[in-house]
Amino acid sequence: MTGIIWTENILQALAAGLLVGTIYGLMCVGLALIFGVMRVINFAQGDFMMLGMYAAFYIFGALGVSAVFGTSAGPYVAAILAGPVLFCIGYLTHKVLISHVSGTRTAHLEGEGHYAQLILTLGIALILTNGAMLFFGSFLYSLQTPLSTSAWELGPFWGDYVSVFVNKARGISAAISLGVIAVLAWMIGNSRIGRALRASADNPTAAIYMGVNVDKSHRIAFALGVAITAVAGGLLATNYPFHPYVGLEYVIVMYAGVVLGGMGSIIGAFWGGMTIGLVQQMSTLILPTQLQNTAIFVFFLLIVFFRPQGFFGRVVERT
Amino acid sequence: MNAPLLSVVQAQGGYGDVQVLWGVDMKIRQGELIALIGSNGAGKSTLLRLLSGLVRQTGGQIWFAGDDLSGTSARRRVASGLIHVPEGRRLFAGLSVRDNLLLGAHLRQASRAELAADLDRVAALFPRLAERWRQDATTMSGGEQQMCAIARGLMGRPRLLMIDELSLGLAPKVVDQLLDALDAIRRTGVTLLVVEQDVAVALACADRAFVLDHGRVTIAGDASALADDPRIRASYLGED
Repeated sequence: MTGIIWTENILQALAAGLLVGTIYGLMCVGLALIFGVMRVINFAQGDFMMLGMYAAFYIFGALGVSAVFGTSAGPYVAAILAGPVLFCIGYLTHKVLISHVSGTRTAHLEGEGHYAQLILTLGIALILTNGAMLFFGSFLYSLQTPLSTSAWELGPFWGDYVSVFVNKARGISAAISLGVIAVLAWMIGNSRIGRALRASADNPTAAIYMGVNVDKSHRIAFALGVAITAVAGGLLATNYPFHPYVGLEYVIVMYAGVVLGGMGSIIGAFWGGMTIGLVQQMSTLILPTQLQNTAIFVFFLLIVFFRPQGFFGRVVERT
Repeated sequence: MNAPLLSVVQAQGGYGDVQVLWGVDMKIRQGELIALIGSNGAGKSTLLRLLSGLVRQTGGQIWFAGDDLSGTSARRRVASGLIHVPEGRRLFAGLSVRDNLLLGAHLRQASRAELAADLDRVAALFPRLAERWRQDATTMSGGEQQMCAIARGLMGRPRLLMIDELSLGLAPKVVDQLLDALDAIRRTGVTLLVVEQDVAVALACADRAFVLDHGRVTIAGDASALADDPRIRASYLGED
């Protein structure tokens, strides 16, 4: 009987890990897109995600999405719409601030502007956190959906003994995350703008030779990265309460995911985020909940020890 | 005589405070194949980068197809048909040969059919690329990468194609193939400006040549005449 309970617990943790991991994967993809194309380490990414959560909350409540789509589908529509809102905010942030310390303007500077980028994005993070505290207060918000408290039952397996319950809210969030990643992967792989982003990422000077506007590519990558993470934030908000400091909790997960996947690899970032979700949920089987993040970083250190370039990190060899 | 396609008048430029070009004069007519020769550090690549808008112009004028290019962006120059195949090829890693070629047409508002026709055209010129359509372009041999870089330049429908260090590091057989390709490209009406270390090769294939020395054009003329010029023979062909 103990074996059956363990089996059920493992399968349950696996299912929860896959679902949370998919949303973490989306979150990491946003950060990886920015780092992969611009080589900018964006410390404010967690705070843009926090803005995405608030944007989804207000789109759902104040902009009438709840009235049109209802309380079940509404939060997901709001989470998706948070993407375009944060795209505009990211675009403006790059145009007004980030562009001064990145791209072709800083190509000739020592460290290519990385020191200024670190300070600037850290400053943006502080402004966003404290600004959110001023505007929204320190209350816990949540984007409640009735689906958060219901589940699909998979099984029973092995007679009537083992069933796996999949939370509907997390399941839908994971499906939307996969959809967003599929659209992004198609865009990067096949569209004109996708080719320009990849060219700007690999060799900005050569991209200029082709007539690619590298600074504009960086702006689009930054805005897109912020928007994708904001959608992930909106989706997380359907299951987890949030507050102005929530970004700090997730930015660490994001960086761990991106490094695990391999810096610069977008698909790697997804698998990095997925791995973190799985480790986090599976660790609850043997560790107290408070040690979830410890488990993530022990696993992280093990991977980095044996494979420093991450799962999908590229070792470039040119003939 | 027709107005020159490219007219460079007393052009000056360099990197930061270091001036490399000290008043370059050059005129190139439509359909010519021009060789730009000179020793290391003479300013050949810098001149091409100046023409592409990647090096700051500090003096003089550059006219291309009747337009003054001074102060215009690199993008505008590419859009007007002034296309640069840089030294070292600079293909995009992680992108297939096909995607590298399509990036050459980035600024063109071309339909899918036009792009497909252009891909067929460059594949006919360099059949080895067609065999490697989906391969990461940077994993090909040096000769194939040079073919890909030239083909990528052609995808932009150039009026003037500038090729930096055509034969550097390539086997003689591959260089012969590239020279045949240049001849075919010229017959389509594209003007070519080729920087070439191997002066004998450069003078054998070009109509005219310019010799750059310390950032100035010191000798210019028909390639066949320059091949017999004692100064060229002594300085670049190693003859007494």
